[in-house]
Amino acid sequence: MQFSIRRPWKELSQILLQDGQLLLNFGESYGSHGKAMFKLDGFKSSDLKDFIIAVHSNSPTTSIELDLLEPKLLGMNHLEASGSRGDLTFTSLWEKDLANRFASTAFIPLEVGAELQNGDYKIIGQMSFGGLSAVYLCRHKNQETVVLKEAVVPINSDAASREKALEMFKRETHILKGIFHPHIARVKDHFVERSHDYLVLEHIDGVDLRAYVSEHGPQAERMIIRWAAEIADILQYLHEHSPPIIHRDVTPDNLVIDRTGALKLIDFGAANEFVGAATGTLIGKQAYIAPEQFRGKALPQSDIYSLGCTLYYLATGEDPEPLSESSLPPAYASSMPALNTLIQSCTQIEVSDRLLSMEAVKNCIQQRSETAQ
Amino acid sequence: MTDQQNTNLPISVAAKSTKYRPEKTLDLNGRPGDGIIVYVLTSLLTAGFFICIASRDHARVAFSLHNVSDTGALLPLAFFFCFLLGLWAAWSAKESRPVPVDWTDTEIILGRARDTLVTMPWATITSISQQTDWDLINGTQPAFLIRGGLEFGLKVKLKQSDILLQRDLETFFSAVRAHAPDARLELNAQAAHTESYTELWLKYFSTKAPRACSTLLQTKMRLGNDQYEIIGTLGGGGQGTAYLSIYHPKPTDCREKETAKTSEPIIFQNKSQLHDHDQVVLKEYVLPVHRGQAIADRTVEKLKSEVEILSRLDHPQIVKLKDAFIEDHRGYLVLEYVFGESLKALVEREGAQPDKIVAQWMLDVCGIARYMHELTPPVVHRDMTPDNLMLEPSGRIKIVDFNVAHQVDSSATATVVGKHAYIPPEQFRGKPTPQSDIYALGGTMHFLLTSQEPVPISVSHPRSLDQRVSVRLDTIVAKATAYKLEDRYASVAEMEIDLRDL
Repeated sequence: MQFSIRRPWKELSQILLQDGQLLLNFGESYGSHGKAMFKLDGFKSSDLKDFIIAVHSNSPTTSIELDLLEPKLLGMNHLEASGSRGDLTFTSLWEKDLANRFASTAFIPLEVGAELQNGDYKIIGQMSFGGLSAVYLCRHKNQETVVLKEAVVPINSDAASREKALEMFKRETHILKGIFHPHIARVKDHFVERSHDYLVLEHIDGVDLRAYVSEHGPQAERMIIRWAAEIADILQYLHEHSPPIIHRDVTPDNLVIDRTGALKLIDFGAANEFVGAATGTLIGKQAYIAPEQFRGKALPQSDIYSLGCTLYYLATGEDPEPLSESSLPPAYASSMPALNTLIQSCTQIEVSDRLLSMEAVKNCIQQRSETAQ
Repeated sequence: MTDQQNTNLPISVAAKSTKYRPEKTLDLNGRPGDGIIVYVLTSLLTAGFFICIASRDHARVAFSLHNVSDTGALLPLAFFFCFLLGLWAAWSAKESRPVPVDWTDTEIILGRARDTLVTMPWATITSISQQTDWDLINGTQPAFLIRGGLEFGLKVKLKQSDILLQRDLETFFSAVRAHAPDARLELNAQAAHTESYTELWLKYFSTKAPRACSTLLQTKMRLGNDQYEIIGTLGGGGQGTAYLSIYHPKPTDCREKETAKTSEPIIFQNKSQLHDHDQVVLKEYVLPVHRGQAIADRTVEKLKSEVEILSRLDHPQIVKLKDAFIEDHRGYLVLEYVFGESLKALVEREGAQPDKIVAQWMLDVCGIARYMHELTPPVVHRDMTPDNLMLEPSGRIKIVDFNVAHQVDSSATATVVGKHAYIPPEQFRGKPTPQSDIYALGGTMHFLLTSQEPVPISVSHPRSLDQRVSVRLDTIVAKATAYKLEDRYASVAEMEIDLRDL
């Protein structure tokens, strides 16, 4: 490094591991391409990981040699060591995660670096895709990081139903754009490019509840009830709009714990519904969809059903059985009876048997949390 | 790493857990040296205070007791205060443990209280919750309250910085998960966030896709060793893209050379009935491109499962699989081209169909379904919808689509659910049986008779929409679409009998 201790991220072109040392290669801008070596033992494993994440987010073009991501170096070998708890091994964890996130598609997903809307949006990462949709991490006008949801209606689908679905979708995004709530990821924009539909959403930096539970195992009753109250608050806000806004996709995947520890609701089911309506399919996590929503009549109570299913997942680490009233397996039910009752009353098959409003859910949570203590 | 560090700590083996009164809170404040720092700091402060006073008022003797009202009188007090602080600091230095938090496979070494090494067996830990703590050296910082202990309850507060002395937080959590799986974890998100390494891996695995072509295939393009020439895109129904193409066989010797050149695996080949200039359908799956083999393997596995199902079937009314290959990160199934119109398109064009014709078609389809269900193990189509039933010019029905492996994942976490109007509840729950196809056929009949999609997850009664539908046919549809398996036709053969009796 020639005479400059501070280097801008963008000059960093490569990081690799050489003889046990971290080698940072800088680009050739300013005619001063240089190298910097760091001893690895100077890094704590968590620091190294933070550093790599920082490199990724600040300078996505930097290439990182993969020996660096060896779990051993990142201090994650405990995960492999604890192989006795089979589901916790490092390899299985990410393999499962990745396979769940990426499946074959009927269209060609955008690549990292691709640009949309004349360069306003630049893809910086692929988050998940499969079938007819994809989710990307994106930079808007080189400043803000946003989430971009791509929905694709196949060219050979029925034109009339596509038109109708698109109309509904536009109307709904218009409503969603008007929602400002600190715990709901904002819907920022909607545009169409090359006959693919894009929804721009606020990016919440954090861990979703599915990832959290798969890493930490089933959660304690107190924790779940606290989360339940937070989710109920958010949904109540949506349902109190007139006409009520139904989220339609309340799942552990769509609830994110952000860096401050607050729970945030992301990703409305609107985009899925759009593709579904245009192709005659149902897209979503079937284990979390209320029976009446299956039949095409989503009600505010459908969100209550999904909430119950989400709580079931948090308590057991397993998806509940689709289209059924969920109750915790006996082993869990005996240790958290209060939560079990709450889950049961949220997941009744008949809408009229279910807790009818978020108000009722909150009251129930209130009572449960008192009995739980 | 665990073993290595344990050997560095000879004390841990000798440690014995001590008994405590119920729910005693043990405060293991301070790290080694904390006390000394406190002592030095307070001494300096008091000395500064003294110098300050003395320099302002050197005429008076600081220790003079005559002028009580004077500021100098505070000095003895200050000295006394300083002495007390020093005592406290020395005491806490003695109290504070020289052992940082560590653990073995059986217990956590929490530190030292007085002269005893405090350990807690993993098995006795009931909960760990996250709190915040404040001290002079570190200010506000996260801490953990551990509840547990043998026989009697014990509460121990550990500071995050204590844990970080030896291992990182993640290692601590995974040790907790591994050794005390029953302990309840009540953590705030801050702790959770440090652990989100899946994100990191995701970022690593997503890579710039080396796709040669990133659009739809154009006409005249050639695939599969130049053997399939694209002549157009197929319209009508179904998800995904399908191309119509022409087969151009290659001389054998030439093909061998070509095959050696490509690294892409050939999954399946059965070209015995494929002739020069035959028209075939290329069904396309765009595979995700990532670094590493794992994801590619998984998606190819799904493709293979569809290939496997199709290759088991040999029936004149089931579309034939000719070839399967992967090229440019896309998977292709080469299928026989079926001339005709799908029942869906036909009904949309002509409207609802009369009883007699529908019954005729259904008897035809039941024959195919019976063939599949009688195989061992039975093949469940899982997607018998009007889209997938083709009416050939000869009047015969052919089943074309078998993308079950892609459309309806058997796991409940699947994101794409499929044409839900035709899927019975047990299939949603991931347990399809041959009777699931009967439900789909019932739904299909409803559509053909009324030109309306059936209501998902419900018993269909086409007569309620169209009085022209006979009561007997309505009963058949209702019995085929019964919610419970025991109320539904037990087999296709049973349904066939009722259809014949019409």
